[in-house]
Amino acid sequence: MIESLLPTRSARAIVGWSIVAAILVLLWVLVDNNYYLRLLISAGIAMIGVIPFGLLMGHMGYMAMGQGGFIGVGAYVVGCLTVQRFEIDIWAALPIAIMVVGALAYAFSFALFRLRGYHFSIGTLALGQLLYLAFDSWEWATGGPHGTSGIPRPAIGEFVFATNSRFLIIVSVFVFLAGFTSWWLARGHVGRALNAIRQDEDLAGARGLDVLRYKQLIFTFAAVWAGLAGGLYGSMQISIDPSSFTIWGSFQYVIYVIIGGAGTLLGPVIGVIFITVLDQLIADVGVWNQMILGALIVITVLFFRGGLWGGIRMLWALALKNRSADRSAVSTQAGAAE
Amino acid sequence: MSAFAQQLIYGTSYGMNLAVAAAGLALLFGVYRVINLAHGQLIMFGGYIAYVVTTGLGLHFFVGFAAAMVAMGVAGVILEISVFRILQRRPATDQLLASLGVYMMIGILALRIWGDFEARPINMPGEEGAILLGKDIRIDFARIVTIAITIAVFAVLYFVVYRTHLGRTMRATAQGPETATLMGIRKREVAALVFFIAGALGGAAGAMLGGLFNVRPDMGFQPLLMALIIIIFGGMGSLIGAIIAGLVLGILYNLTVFYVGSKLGDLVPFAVLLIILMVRPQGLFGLPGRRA
Amino acid sequence: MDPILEIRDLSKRFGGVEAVKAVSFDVPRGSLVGLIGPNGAGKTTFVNLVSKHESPDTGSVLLDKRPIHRLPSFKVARTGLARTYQKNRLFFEESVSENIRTAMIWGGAAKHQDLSYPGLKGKEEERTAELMEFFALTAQRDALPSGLSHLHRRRAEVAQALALAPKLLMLDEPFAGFSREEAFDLIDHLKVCQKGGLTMLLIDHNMEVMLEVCEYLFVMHHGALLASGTSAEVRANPEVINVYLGAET
Repeated sequence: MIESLLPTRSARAIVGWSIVAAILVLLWVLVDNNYYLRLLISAGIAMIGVIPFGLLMGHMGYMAMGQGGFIGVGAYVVGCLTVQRFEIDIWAALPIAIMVVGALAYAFSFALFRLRGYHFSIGTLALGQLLYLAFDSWEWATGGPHGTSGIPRPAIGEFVFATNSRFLIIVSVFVFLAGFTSWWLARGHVGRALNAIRQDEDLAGARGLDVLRYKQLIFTFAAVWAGLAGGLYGSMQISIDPSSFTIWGSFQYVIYVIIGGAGTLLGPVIGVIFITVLDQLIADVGVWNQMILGALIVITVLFFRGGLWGGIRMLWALALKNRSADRSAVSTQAGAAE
Repeated sequence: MSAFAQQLIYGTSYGMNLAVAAAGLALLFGVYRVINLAHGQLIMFGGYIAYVVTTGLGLHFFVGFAAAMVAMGVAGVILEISVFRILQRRPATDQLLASLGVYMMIGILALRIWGDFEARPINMPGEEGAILLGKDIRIDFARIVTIAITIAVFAVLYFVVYRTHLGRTMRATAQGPETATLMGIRKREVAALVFFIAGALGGAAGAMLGGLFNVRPDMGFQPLLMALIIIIFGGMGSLIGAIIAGLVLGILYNLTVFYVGSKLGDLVPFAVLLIILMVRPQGLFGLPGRRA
Repeated sequence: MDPILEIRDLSKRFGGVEAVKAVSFDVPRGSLVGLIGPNGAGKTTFVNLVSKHESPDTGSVLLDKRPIHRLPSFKVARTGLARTYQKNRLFFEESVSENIRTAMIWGGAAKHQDLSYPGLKGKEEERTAELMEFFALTAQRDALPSGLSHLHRRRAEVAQALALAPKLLMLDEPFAGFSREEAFDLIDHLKVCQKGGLTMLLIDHNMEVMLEVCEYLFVMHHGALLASGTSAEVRANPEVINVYLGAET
């Protein structure tokens, strides 16, 4: 059906991305409740970090458990440059933050990618915790346990993105960019390489793929976007402290991907949406919501490895199959009638 | 000099507790290539069980200690049956993820039962007493007790792994499922026993850490992180590696905290980990070339 | 003799075990040579060292006079040394044709003008099609590796390795699980490639087939090179007889 309307992949992609953009604009127009706006911003910031992270964890199969550290570095570099030690404009601070995170991730990637599987996950977990300790103790740059406050919202000329409704515009643009760059990477030869690395990286190397380079590329890519998400988070919150960048933040990224569906671009997005909605629904049960979330993770991993998006696609395929079965039944009947 | 000796003793006792915690992880990894993040919460829950039995019911610490071991051993078996058995032959990330889910569930369970983040003490034998060595090296009884318990635990563990039929089958399973099947091993029972021992080690670590530093709902995280670092440091799956790495890390940690400051002390394990990963990713007692 | 592969003093230790001990030999250009030895002789470790899946402790490997023992595995592959695996390995989520094409993309364009085995000339699609036709895999082009028979999987793996347009192909236990007929079916294909200039190093412990097929043989035992020679020479070598009889009884 879709295939016949839009024959080429790029045509489908253009339509898909237009729909995403339209949804974002619609949300911005329709939602004027401040509480929901804040939720949207939070979800958007999560998506900025999670969609590229999905390439690392889902496509490439390297489950990094330290993204919270990169989020924190992004936030603190912005905080340090805009208020804590300097007074640079946030538009200049964000690119610097991205570069710092990128350089840091690239430097660590040399050590981390000597590891695979469990070792890699634990290595990144330790890196995340190391960065957390740095936020807590390097008072000159971070303000230590008290954190940094007064991080500004960005502005273009006189137009300050001060209200949540305005801030959502910026976040939406970056969600779009994060999604688009990830999609662009995943569809071409990079995507082929990532899939091969997940399936059998030794074989990929033996067939001529520079495995390490692609691993470093994707790790840095995911870290850079996590850093940007962190910078925006700081700007949204205005004040930050180390408690926002614990190991829990890293786990959350992992959870978004696994619940939504690993190995797909839409999976992480669905994961963020689902958990944001779920959080609202089960907010009443207090701390039990963690328990529900934990149970959901266990059940997903045990029985629904494809996550929500995998489930949706399975149902969709089933529906199509039934439809075509109906149709062929109809045509045989028609044939019999003739 | 005496301060150094004092820190050395503290470090040894802390390191031994960590080694017990890490031994549970190392055992699971060695036999089944499983990393169980929920181990951290078994440590925490073990601490609470010991707290309930000793402080709550007023029984002797050893009773609480045994109760913690048994209860967490059973919890380990339940985990094996309900989660890890289903995840055999799945990629490493699946087991990490599932155990992360379990970690969250157990954590909240403790928080709900005991209500808050208040630190609770466990009554240890000889709470106030201490041995004085020379002029000013002081070893309190509680530390001596935990050191003695640790040595006993490792002696029993060594006996089980290297001197019993169960230990032989465990080591055969570690060689590969095929060998184990050839030896006619009844896999399920062995798995249950291994998870029982691993859980019990977690419970033991929790009871001792709780005895020395009080019990809190978030007390499992730090030992878990340390234990993960220890098993990489010692060589994944190596029990002897876990013991030595645990001691080294515990002593280094205490010395750094004492001489340089607590913030840098927290950095020590990660510095050790990064150095190990750079220099010898397979750890002290791991075989090179066999990467996980 | 013009050697295409020169192995000098290659060694590797695992913990206390010396898996490969100071192995040195040459492989003549265009030949079909074999490396045999009982299970556990260190053959697979040796292949892993040459293809750089593992790094040798000492020693050097020259491919066409060019040192390759310091290169990462992907560069070894691009330099012209391809290998297959004892346990059949393909990208299990990709179809047969995709598997072949993937190696072609990463290996780069075929650059060895002096070679002429199937799948060297033309564009990617033509090369892929030619390789699949040569190995009679055209009907399976869209099948996943899990849906193939053992014979077809092995052929697909060799086709994927050839898609790199190598000068030298190392086959690790290519005949494992094969009947004699199936083994010779694969050998026939390999001989066509050999006529096209491809050098091949077969590694197997199946003495019967190896002695029949290989022009020259190297025998490994306990990580070291025990003997070498033509099949008649190896067959007559008392040490080799001793090792094989000792290992199989």
